[in-house]
Order: sequence, then C-alpha cells, then structure tokens
Amino acid sequence: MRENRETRWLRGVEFFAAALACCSSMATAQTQPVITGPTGGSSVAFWYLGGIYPGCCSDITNEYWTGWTVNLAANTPDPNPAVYWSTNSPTKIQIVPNGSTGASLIALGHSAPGGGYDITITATVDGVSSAPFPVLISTIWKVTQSAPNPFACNFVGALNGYQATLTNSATDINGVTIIPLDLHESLENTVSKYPSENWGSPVEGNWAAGTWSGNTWIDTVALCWGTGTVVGVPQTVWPWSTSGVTEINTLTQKFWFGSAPPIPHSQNPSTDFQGACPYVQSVNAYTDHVTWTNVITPVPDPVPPNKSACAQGQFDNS
Amino acid sequence: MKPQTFLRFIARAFAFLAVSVSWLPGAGVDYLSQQSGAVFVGSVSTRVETPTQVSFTVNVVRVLSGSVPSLAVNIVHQWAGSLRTASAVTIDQPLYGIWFLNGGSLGHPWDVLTARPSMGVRIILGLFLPASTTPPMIAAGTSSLDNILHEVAAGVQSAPAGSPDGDPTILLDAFGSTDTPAVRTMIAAGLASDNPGYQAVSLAGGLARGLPGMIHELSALWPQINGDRHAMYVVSALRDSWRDTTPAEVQDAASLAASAPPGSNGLRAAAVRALAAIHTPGTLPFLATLLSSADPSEQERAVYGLSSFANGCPVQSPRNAASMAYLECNQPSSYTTADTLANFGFRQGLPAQEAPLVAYWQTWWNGHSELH
Repeated sequence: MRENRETRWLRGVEFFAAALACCSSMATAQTQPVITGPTGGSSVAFWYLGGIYPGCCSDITNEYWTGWTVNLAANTPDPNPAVYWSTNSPTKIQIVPNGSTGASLIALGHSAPGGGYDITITATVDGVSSAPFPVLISTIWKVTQSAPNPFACNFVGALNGYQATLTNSATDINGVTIIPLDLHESLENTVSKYPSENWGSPVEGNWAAGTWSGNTWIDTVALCWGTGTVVGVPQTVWPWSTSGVTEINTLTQKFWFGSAPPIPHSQNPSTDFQGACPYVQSVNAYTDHVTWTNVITPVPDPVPPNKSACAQGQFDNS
Repeated sequence: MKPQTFLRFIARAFAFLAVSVSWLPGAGVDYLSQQSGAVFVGSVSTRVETPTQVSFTVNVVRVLSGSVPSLAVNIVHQWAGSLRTASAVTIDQPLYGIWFLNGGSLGHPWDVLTARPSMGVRIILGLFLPASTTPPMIAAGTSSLDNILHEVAAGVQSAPAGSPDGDPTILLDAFGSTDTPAVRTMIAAGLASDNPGYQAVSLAGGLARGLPGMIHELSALWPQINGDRHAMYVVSALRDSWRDTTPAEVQDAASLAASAPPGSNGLRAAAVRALAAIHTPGTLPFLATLLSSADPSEQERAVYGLSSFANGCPVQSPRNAASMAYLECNQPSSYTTADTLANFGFRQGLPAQEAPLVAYWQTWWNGHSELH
C-alpha cells in the first residue's frame, strides 16, 4: 500500500512536471493572436467628427460611427491571459479593452491625408504580439460650393435687393461624396465696410440631415429690404451684378458637421464651434452682389502654436 | 479624464450603435410623409417673419394623407430666416402648396417640415411644395405616396415658367429615394420632353435608380443639357449614385468617359469615379488605361478600381459611403494575394506613395491578359 501510494505520488509528480513542460512548450510556441473587424475583416474604418458623437439623425441616417469594435483571437490556452493593446497613433485613437476577446475603439482624431491606412493597433497576449491591424479614421474633408444662383427678393417679403443660393457638397478623406449629416454654420467677425451700414450679419443657419437636397445642402444669402423692414443702409439693388464696387460688410463663415443645434446658436462655444470643420471662407456683401473669397478647404490641422483656421476667433476676413 | 466622465464618454460614443436606421439621400415625400401627421394642400395669405421664426395660418384645401387638427392650422416654424431686421415683419403674400404637418404635441405649436430643400431652409418657399389649384386626375387605386407625387408634378407643371414653383429641381426633391410607378412615369416623361431642365433632373433620377439605358440616354442628351444649370445633378448622380454593373451599361459608361473631353463639366471625372466604384471585370480595360493618365486623380482611381477588383471589395455606393463598408474586401476573389492586399489603394497619397502603386498595378494588369 505504502509503495503504491509512493508510486502514485511519484507518478503524480511526473504527470505535473510533464504538464508544466507541455504548457511551457505551448507558451513558447503560442500562436500569434489575431485581430479582426466585427465581421471578420482585415481592417476597420470609422469617423472622427471633431469629438461630436452624432446621435442626432436617427430619423434619417446615422452611419457616421465615431466608435468601432474589433475582435481578438487570443490563441492561447491560458484562461486568464495578460492582454495589452497599443497603437502607433495614441492621439488619434483610444482603445478600451474588452477582456481577452476584443476592444472598443474611439476616434480622438482623423487619419492623415495620404494613401492607405496610417493607423495601426496591436494586441499583445502573454507576451506574443499580433500583426499590426490597419485602421482608417475618416472625417469630413473637403467642401465644394457652387457658383451663386441669384434671384430677386420675391419671397422674402421685402421686394428690394437680392438673394442667392449656393449648392454645397462635401467629400470625406477618401474623396467619397458624403450622404446627409447634420451640420451648422458659424459666422464671426462682421466688419463694416460702409459708414453707418445697418445690415449686420444673418442668423447662423443649421441643416439637419432631413433638410438636405440629395447629397447637397443649400445656403441662402439675402440682402432684401422693403415693406415693414428697416431700409437698408446702403440700399441693395437688383439685378445681381458683379460689377458693383460698393462693399457693405464682410464676415467669416465656417461649416461644422455632426450637429444642427437649435436656432439661435450664435457664438455659443458649446455648440457653435463643435464638430468637424472642413471649410472656412470670407463672405463679402456688396450693394448688388456677394463674393466668397479666401476659401480654405480642407482645413489643415493646427500647427502649434497656431490654431486651426476653424477655431473660435480665427478670422478669414478683415 | 475622470472615471465618471469617461464612462459617459463611452456611453455616448456607443449608445447610437444600437439604433437601427435607414439610409436616405436627402428627404423626399416618402420620408416627409412618414415624419408628418398630415399632408395637405393649403393656402396662406399672410405670415409674420423674424430672423428666428416664421408663423402663419394654413387654410386646408384638401387632405392628401393623415388627418388635420382643423381646417385652419396655426404654424410656428423655427428657422434662420433671410430677413435681418430685429423686429417682426408682417408679410401679406398669398402662398399655395403642399404642406407636411409636424409637431403639435405636448403643448407645442404645430410646425411644418422643410419640404423643398433645393430652395434652402431660410425662406418660406422651402416649407412647401407647389400644388395646382385644380387637383390632378389620379387613377383609382393609386397609392397615397404616388398621389402626393402626382400633386407635386401638377404643381410644378402649372407654375409659370421661370418661377420658383416651376423649377424642375423640385421633382428631384420630391422623389428622394422613392422608386414607385409614379416616379418612373415622371422620369420617362421628363426624358421625352424638350426642356433641358426636365431632361437633366429626369436623367439624374434615372441614374440614381439604376434604370436601364440611362448611360445611353446621357450620351444622347448631354449636348442639350450641358449648358443648363441642372446638369450638375446629372454629374453628381453619375458620380455618386449610378452603380449599374450590367456589362452593356458599363461598356457604355466607359465609352462615355473615353469620349468626354477634358473638363466636360465634370462628366468624365464622374464616369471615372463611377466605373472605379463598380470595378467589375468589364470596367478593368478602361481603368487600366488610366494608369498612364496625366491626371494623378485618374491614376489613383485606376489603382482603386483594379485593387478593389483583385481583392474582392464590394461596390462603393451611397449605401456604404458612411459605413465605409466598401473597404471591407471580403468577397471571394481568385486574384487576391498577399501582394494585392498590400497594394490596395483607395485614397490619393503623395506622389512618392502613388508611383509604386501605379507601377505594381500596371505590372499586375500586364500579367493578366485573360482580363483584357
């Protein structure tokens, strides 16, 4: 009996040692962990909208995800593996681990202009690293604005002067035309160019996704006066003519994607200057027409100590 | 970041992931009808505008869908109006059209939806669609949606030429993503008209819906509509929406792109982008010619089209533009290799990045004569 117990004990020690050797051998030969997208893809792509999370548009469209998930095949028998995530772009992406099965990714910035995937993430499981996994974080990149379509002030209720519509569209960092998304404008630094002019600047507009015309949003500029309104100083005239030289005022216009805050939202830093801003320009009103100048699109990222051209207080007009 | 703030951050970032929503390019009458409690033809005689709201009473003439709270509905609509005066202005101006009623719950006033976004969101015209004072003859059994579309078409056609209500762009607004018998009838009628504006918006509508023969129609009509301001809708529909993979249509599009002169009001660039987005085998011979284009953007599109084909990437369309699912190249392809994956190109890089890609795909193309 004693011998038998000793024999069993020795056999047990041998088995344990063999198991340790086996596991040790498995650890050294551990298969590389593999990161995949939610549907098994070899890359993922999502959006950065200036820190805006557009829960806005559930009535029409919202596929502008600013977060994403990835799966991880840890490929280890270790029931409690040590998993570490890393990225080559910590200022652009935040990784929130989800145990040993994956992670949530949150956009903190957008991919740099240029070709291909510039962001990678890597998972390290018990010391074994995955291959770098490609990530693209797109953003609203470039706005294209049509020439103005001028018309008389017939439907503004003030028959004198002029108005014009501009058709705008935008592309993402891949050059693909974007589908409707909430946006708004900010108007800053109205500078009078005519003594005692009383036009000022218009109320800042918003364009909810449901108010787009196809893949475009329409901006209207109007300097109309007449019945019931204060007579404009100076008076604007119709027809539209780009030969006029009498300037009324000028301001800086910026478009912000990701939200359409309720009107009025003027100069409210918590709403007005939030979102992705791919477009800045000067809007210059004359007595018979408007010009749009100093267009910046795309808007370069800020280079310290300078601020982005989109930042509050950064003016494009003078 | 404080833990609590961080948790809120995470929650906000992912709360919307659970929301199931649909894709829609702008808002047509289908979307507006869904959002509206009642659609009706009505008249307005006077309104009060301020820079931040407009208020008026609509006298209901006929109800097209839903039910109205009364025959005189008081509307208050928040907006960034065009008038810059600080005080309220009363405007006596008769208006007549189709209104989409909204709001009116929990003590909130009734509102109307923006129905004519092509006129913008800042003037009264944006808030209704034109209607004819005489109701159109509509066959029994016509759907409510098509009924409204027929009303809009009658309103546009009865408006004086050159007036805002007579702008054919209104039809594109009304169509939205709807594809019903009424829409197809109107597209066919527009293509057969001699009005370049109607031809252009009908062509744009047909391209967006992938109706057969649209590229052939485009080639035939382009000389007439090229100078019309509505031509831009054709270009954008071709560039962003037309994704017909039928070999004959693809061949027509390649011929159109090849024959379009440089510039050509954006037509060639639109056709190139569409063909690269489609990247079926039939597109490849044309796309391969672009590898030696003097235009770097055309070279980039060629790389995108060829590499998307080889790597089994889906067609890029408006439906996957926002999700960017067109970059998930998981369709079976016998041409996929580690090299083709490594040389996948989908956006324009610096010349130093682009040159090796162009060279790789030129070599790849030369080595696959079976695709020529």
